[in-house]
Amino acid sequence: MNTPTQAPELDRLLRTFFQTEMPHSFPGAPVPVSRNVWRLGPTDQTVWSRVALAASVVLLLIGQLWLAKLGSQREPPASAIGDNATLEAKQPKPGGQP
Amino acid sequence: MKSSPQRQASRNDAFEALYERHHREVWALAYARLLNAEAAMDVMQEAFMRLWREWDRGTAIANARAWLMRVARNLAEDHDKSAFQRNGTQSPQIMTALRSRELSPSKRLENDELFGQVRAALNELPAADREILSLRYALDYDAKRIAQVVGAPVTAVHMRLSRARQRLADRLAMHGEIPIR
Repeated sequence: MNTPTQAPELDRLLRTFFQTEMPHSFPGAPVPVSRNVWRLGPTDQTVWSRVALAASVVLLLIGQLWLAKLGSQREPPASAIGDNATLEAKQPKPGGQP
Repeated sequence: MKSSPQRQASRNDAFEALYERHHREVWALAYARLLNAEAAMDVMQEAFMRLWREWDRGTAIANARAWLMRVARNLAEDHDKSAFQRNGTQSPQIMTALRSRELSPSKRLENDELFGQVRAALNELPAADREILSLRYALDYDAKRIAQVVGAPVTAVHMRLSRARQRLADRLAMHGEIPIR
């Protein structure tokens, strides 16, 4: 049990302990990288991400159509190739006989 | 919705005002849990950063002080086992600044033994007792202010403070190293 004379001693000890432990100076408010930055709000972010997604899809479709068109231009037409039977029929037999 | 520069600035001001008012309390509360000044500083900074992030997300926090205290308590409890302790969440500049404590090496040595015993005795007390002692002696708060911080009636704080001091005195006497006369 504390006697009246013990109390000030304990008070002094605890005060010294806690105040020594406590930093003498604290750093300033730990803010914020986003300070004074004009940035997009949550709604804007959602809208912009949707726009970006839609643009990506459109670009993908355009690219696919363009590639398909390019492919069809390079491919020789079927009439130019002909089928084997036609070619063989048209080729002259050796010996000049039909 | 765009946050205009004016709105951003007013939020920054509000945040800084809140920090100025309560950062020492949050530190004292975290210190009471951890009994480690640097870790308490980390927790205090993290609690404020979390508050800022909540504001940034548009969360309405009715009682920022109570919110900070709750978060600081939770952070302190998680501190030992979390990755936050290993890695931190602040920039190296901030962390270095936090650790530049102005105590001379000789003073530290002198205090180490004595304070080690006080720390050991404090460690045996319940966390709630340590919170009250920390607020009382680190910040010189009276019972009324302590009651506001811990959210308890003033009479209960008086009683708990008295009991906490008694328990601490008993433990220090039990260790027999520190004459409490």
